[in-house]
Formats: sequence, C-alpha cells, structure tokens
Amino acid sequence: MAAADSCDGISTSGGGWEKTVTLVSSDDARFEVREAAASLSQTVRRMIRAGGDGGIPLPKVDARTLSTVLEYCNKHAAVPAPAPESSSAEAAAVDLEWFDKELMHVDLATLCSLIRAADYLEVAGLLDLTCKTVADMIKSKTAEEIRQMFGIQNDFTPEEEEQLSRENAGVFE
Amino acid sequence: MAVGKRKRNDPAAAYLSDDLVIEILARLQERPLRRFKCVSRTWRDLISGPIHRRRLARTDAASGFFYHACASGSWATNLSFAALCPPEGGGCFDQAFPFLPYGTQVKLLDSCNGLLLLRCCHGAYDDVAAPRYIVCNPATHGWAVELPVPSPEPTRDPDPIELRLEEISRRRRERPLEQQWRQRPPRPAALAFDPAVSSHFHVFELVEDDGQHSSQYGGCTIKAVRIYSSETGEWVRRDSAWSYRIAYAGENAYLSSEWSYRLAYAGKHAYLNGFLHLTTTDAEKGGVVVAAVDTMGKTWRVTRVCPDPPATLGAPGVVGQSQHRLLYVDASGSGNPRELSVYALEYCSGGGERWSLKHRTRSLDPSGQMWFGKRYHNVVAIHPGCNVIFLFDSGRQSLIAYDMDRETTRVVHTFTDAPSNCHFFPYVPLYLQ
Repeated sequence: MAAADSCDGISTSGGGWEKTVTLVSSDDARFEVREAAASLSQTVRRMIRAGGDGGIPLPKVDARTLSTVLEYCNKHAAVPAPAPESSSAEAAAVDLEWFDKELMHVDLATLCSLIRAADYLEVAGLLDLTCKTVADMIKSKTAEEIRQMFGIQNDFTPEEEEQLSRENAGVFE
Repeated sequence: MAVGKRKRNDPAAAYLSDDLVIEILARLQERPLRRFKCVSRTWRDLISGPIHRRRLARTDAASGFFYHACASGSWATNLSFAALCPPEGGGCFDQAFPFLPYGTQVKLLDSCNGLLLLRCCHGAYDDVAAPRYIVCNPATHGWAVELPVPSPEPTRDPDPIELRLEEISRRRRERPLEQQWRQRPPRPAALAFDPAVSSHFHVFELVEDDGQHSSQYGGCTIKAVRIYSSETGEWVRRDSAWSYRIAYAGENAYLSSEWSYRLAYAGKHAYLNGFLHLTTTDAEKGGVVVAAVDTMGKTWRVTRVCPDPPATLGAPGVVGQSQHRLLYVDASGSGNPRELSVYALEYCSGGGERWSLKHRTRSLDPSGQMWFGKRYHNVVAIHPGCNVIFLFDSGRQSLIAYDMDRETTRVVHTFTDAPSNCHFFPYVPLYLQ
C-alpha cells in the first residue's frame, strides 16, 4: 500500500504501534488521527491508498464538524468487531449507544453539517445516526415548521396547498 | 432542494441536497411523510416521485376511487372520481378528465399504482370490437399510450398448429381484423405497473375458453394470457400452466350466462412483486383460488384461500396489495349476519405460499350495532397503506372505510351519482416526469 507518504507519524496507544494520518479541514486545521479510525471514512481510505504529501485535504468539511466526525470515528474504530456474545461485548455496545446519543445532542444546523460531512466522507454509520436523529427531530412537526427549520420557501399556490392538505389529511390521520 | 428565504439562525446551515433529504425521509414513517408532501414542490416530488418510492414509506394511501356512474341505463357509462376527502372537497380532478382521449367513449378496466387502463369504444354497442387499450396517467395529463391491437385468437378448431396458423391467415384474408373481433366479447384485462421497480408497465389480457367449458361456478376457464410489455411494445401469448382449471369470474360469477360483459373487475386482481394475482374459482371443485402469473408468463402459481371448499358457490372476494402484502377479503361467509374475513399471503420457508387468517369480524363497530352484511355491504377495495378495507353501502350509496385495528367504520364518501356497479378503482397520483 502506498500509504507511507500520507502517514505523518507513528504513535503508540494501548501498547501497540499505530499508524496515523493527518487530515486537513477546509479552514486548514490539522487533525492527526489513527489510520484505523480515519479509515471508517471510505473517502479518506481511498485517499490514503492514493498517497499524498502533507496530510489529506478535506475541503468540504470545516474543523468544527471534522472534529465531531473524528470523535465518532475514534470511538467506533476502538470497538472490537462484534465478538461472541460476551458480557464485555454487550457492555461495549451499550457504551457505544450512549456515546452516540451524547454526540447527537446538538442543534439542527450542526446535525445537517454532520450529515453533509458523513455523506462526503462516506462514513455510513454516522450518516445513519445523524439522519435518524433528524428524522426523529422532525417526525412530529408540521409542514410549516419544516419550512422554517430548513429554510424552505412554500412554493405552492394557495389552491394547490389546500388540495394537498385535503388529499394528505388522510382518512385515518 | 431549493432553499428559499433564509431564517434567522443559520441560513445555509440546514441546507441539504435532495439525496440527503431522501436519506432523512427514508427514516420516517408514512404519516409524517404524507404531511411533508405539503412542505414544497421539491419535497412533494421527492416523496411522491417514482425514483425514491422503494426507499420511502408508502404515502400513497388511496387518494380516491374512479368508478363508472350510471348514465341513464345505457352502456355508455360515465367515468367519475370520488376523492377520499371531506364531502365539501370537490375532488382532485377536473371532472371532465382532460387525460381521456377525445371523442371516444371509454371504459375503465383497471388502475395500478397511479396508471389507468382504459378501453376505448366508438359507440354504445362497440363492446365487441377490437379492444383499443389506452394506458394513461391522470396526474400528468399528456401522458397516455395506446397499445397495438392484439391479433385475434384462433377460433375453436383444435387443429394442429400449422393448420391453425393457416386457418388464421385464411380468416384474416376473409375478414378485416375489426370484424373478427366482433365475433366475440372482449376479454378481461389487467394492468401491472410498479414504479419502484420499473417505469415500464404490462397489460394482461385473459384468454378464456370458448364457452364449452364454463363451469357451474360461472365464468369461463382461462386457457392463456396475453401479455403486453411497454418495453418491447409487443403482445405475447402464454398458455396457462395453472394446475387448476381456473375460472376468472369476478363480478360475472352470477351473470355469466349472458356474457353481458362488464369489463371492470376492480378488486378482483392485484399486482404485487412482479405477479398478477387473480381471484378465481376452481372450475372443477369450486372454492376460491388465487392464481398468479408473472409478467413474463413463465411462472404460474395457485393458492387456495380456504383449504376446504365452502358450501356456497363462493363468489371470489377482493384481493389487494396493502403494505407490501397481498390481502384477500372474503365476504361470502354464510350465516346471518355474514362474516368479513381477511387473509394475508405468507411465504413459507420452503418456498411455498399460504393464506393465513388475519382478521375476522361480524360487527363493523365497537357498539356491535353495525353488522357486516346487514346493510347492503360490498367489499370494494383494500387500503394500500394501512389496515383499512373499503365497503360500498348500496343502501346509503356511500363508501365506508372499516379500520381493522380499531374495528371502527366511517363514511368516507357519499355518492350523488349512483355508481353503475360496485367497481371502484383505487387511485393514487403518480407524478412521473
């Protein structure tokens, strides 16, 4: 693997030697991350393979968002692959769930930037987590509330709107 | 997603591309999705459009029924639409139905996932002419396809194939195609379309025996199907490989002697997972059999709904797709009051299929005052999105929705123009580009 160029350092953690990579956010903040964690992002994984100097540029993700994404990746990469049903594996799963929940305690704008980042970086787990969170957040909102939350303009004519609300009122709403 | 006015806290912050909006919508249930169709045109198209249908919960709860209203007793019946909305709502369509071909009488034969199958007639007595089928999408007015006229069946002679072909060509030479069609009544036809799977549709035409084999249960047995594919633009004929002699009687079960054709078989067949399912009777032993055939005409299946043939003739009940399952509603139970039974088709581990009883009731409301069948109830359709069955109360001329979960009923539409029969074609709009 031609990864050597993008590996800025070797660090120890947990007693083992681990490769790290440097990721560079859109606002030029540098993050040194374990390769195993960074590789949860398919986009980064491909870039590691392709090689490159001076860290991997991620021009679509700002530092604040990237740090949250990496928090997620670090945590999730640390968890061993689903092992036989042992009590420790179960405890780890519970811990991870709690971690995810805490990570999602952010506002909608942050969630949306996380969704965009997870999509761009192709972190499937995070995309699922963030989309679920937003889905939960909006599921009991009205159409007008949705427009306000996402800054969408109502482009229906009044007649269309009336017809739509009639049609979609549902027989058993 | 077109972002309009920016709101105070974070203008671009909540911007998501259409693909990402879909990621979120894909994690929502049907009800919020239905509500969110009203957010904007973009959201409506994302939710209702065919592209993402497979990923999203189904919001296309039957938004209404097409039916033929009686027009002073003549065969030329008028198409009408009953919207499932408050009575003051005028419906979703220009009642002139601009999507219909101009200048011809039409009969609605079938509806399937937003498309309609129509048969055009040029005059009141044109029932027996060559079928001119039209498939159209009422939601996008301009969209309509006229199918080529299928070539007629060879007539009765059980000649070897070569002879038969010769015969056909001879008869063709003798009579124009149109006239040949006048010799026989039109066939039942069904539409098969699932926008989540393909933008192409199929039309099935059932080829019945010439009448000698009509069973005591009414109708004629089906010897073949003809399948039109909008992809190839051609009709193909496939001989029936059903293991029973299947009589697709539909509403004609008790009218068959005269062949007074009613082409509409609403509720008597359903398209799901690539198969057209027909409620039929077993022409030898009686009893209701659901027969299925795929769009290639290669796989033929039959499942008995009730293991024991009922004592009564058992007019086939209503079959329909609901929440990705096939349901069969049987209202033929003997006894007074009658029973309403709902079966679901389940796939067994061994690859087989069987019907299992999901719901049975005599009473249509919790007070126990409203017995099923006490009034003139006809089961007409199954709600595609929830556990609701539609009944037509011919006494009160109204459409009733029975909620299986809550065991309650409510009138969803009262007709001012009497439907000519109990054929209601569920319709949900499809916004194809």
